[in-house]
Amino acid sequence: MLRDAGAPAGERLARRLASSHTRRGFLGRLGAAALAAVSGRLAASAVSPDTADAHYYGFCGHTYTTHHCPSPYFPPRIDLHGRPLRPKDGHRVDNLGRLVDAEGYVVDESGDRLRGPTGDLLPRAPRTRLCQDWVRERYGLKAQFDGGWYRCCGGTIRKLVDCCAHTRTRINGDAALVGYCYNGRRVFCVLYYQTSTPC
Amino acid sequence: MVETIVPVVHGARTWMLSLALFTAGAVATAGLLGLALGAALPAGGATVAAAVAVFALLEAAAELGLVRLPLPQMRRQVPERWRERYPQPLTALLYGAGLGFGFATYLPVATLPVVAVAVAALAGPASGAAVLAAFGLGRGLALAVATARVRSHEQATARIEWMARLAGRRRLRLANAAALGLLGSVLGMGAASGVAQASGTIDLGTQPVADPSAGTGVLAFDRINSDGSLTGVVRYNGTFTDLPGWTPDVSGTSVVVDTGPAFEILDYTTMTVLQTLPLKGRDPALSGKWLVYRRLKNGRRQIVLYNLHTASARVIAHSRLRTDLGPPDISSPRVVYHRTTAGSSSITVYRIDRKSVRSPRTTRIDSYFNPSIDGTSVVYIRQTLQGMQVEVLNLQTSRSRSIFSVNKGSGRFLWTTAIFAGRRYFTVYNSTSSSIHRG
Repeated sequence: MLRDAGAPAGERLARRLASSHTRRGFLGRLGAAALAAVSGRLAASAVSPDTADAHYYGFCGHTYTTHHCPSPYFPPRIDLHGRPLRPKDGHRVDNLGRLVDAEGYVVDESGDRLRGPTGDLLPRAPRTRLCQDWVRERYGLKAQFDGGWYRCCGGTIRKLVDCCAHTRTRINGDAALVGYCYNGRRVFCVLYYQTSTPC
Repeated sequence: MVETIVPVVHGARTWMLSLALFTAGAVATAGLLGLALGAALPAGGATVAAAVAVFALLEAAAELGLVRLPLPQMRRQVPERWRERYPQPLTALLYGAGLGFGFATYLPVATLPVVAVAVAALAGPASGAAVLAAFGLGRGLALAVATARVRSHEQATARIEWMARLAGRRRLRLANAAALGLLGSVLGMGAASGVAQASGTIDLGTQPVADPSAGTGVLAFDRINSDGSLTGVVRYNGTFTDLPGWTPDVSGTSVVVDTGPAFEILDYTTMTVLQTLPLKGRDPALSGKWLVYRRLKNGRRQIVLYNLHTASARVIAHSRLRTDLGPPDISSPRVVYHRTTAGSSSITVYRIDRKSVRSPRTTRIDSYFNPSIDGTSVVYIRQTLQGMQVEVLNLQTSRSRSIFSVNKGSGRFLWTTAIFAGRRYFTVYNSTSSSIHRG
């Protein structure tokens, strides 16, 4: 049994719907979208217009079935170390999805540190690895990067990274695939890293 | 039952006494039920309020005949033998107590189950007792209407039939559906705004306020002036007095404030300065002979414990600048503060007597901050991807529960906290204002 008690109920249910309904399951997709909207996060691509079937996720011509790792943004973009970045511009964000500076303090779009009502800086939040740290705390699995897929995306190479763990069940709630995982590990969830290598 | 309490046989005086005792019995048991339900579960957040709203709307639909839902009820009437065995006032009291419980008799409409669920899920014991006591009062009022100025048993029967016709099965259900629909809508709107559970804003004037600290009959806080500066204020015996500094913290009859170049300790009952400490730091907190504060020194963040009797200080926690070492609070022998790094966030407790440190709450995903302590109870803010919660942590059991929450996107945020004698205070702010709530 997958331990996903840390994930919000709406997200869990949305994932289940996204991974279980059929190609023609319009109501299922609609339900997943509604739940996702209510739960405030998701699996945007599970119901995105450019995805023909909610069984599949995809970008830049690459199609895959394992759902994304938990993250402040979907799809989860990571830096070299596996920490979260804002997908649209690659700016570093903390675990709460807020823009942060090099010291980890919350900043606005112009880089000024944000303060609370009394003038003190907003308390910082951790900025931890989505695969190794988040999956461990939320699902109790010791996860790591093993391999990945590469595609040309937006003019540079994008790597779809497999987050692997010793588990038979992936984040979708169904059977995990071997993918590019080694030593008996299987793909629990996926993330992506946008390189600066032109293609 | 109504025919037992008409002013026919025993006269108007006994009728009034019986009516009062019936109402007292009904209010008492309904209030006790509310007390038990309110204490049964911790007050839920916006999600729980949304669930209760859905339940209320479902029951409203059931009242309209759109869906079928069972009602939890025991279809019993009050024991008839009681009126033969006991004097009428005692019978009335027992009948009131029996009916005040609500679920032990026939329930014609679904209002009581909905309100009972709402009380259990969203209210505390006191507010739960008050809400359900109103049901008991309602039963007393209904009896008063049914029996007032009745001169014969025939008249009593006719009065009951008249009331039944007035309600009419359909009319009663329509009215109840409207009431439940209204309740569901209000709860739904409350859940959507992210602030749905019982908590009260403390009236501290029109200006924004923050940084609460409480004691017996006293509340100290910061007033946020229009230029952004802070002024410490103490409310004692209903009187507001400005303090000569900011970030006040109360202990006994003393309050400590940060004046900039020094910390000042005052007796807030007389406003006399007891001690001026030329210590460089901020966010002072006081407990008996101990003062704790934080400072930057030698490129590091430090939390310093200062003994007011011996004028000696020692650093009890330190970190690099990029680590967020939060404002400390003290309830001797414990000091509490938050420590957040790139890798984790924790609520940390330092024991003065044992010189030991432990972190009863640590997360690698969320953010914990601004804790306050009183005895073995800690109140702190937890921020997640979904929103912010005020959490109460019991250091003895290591259990934590949420007492208030705001949803992400609601435009409201949580800030500083305080706790004293089981009462929790916290700052709620938005882009234009800031207020102190008690929850």
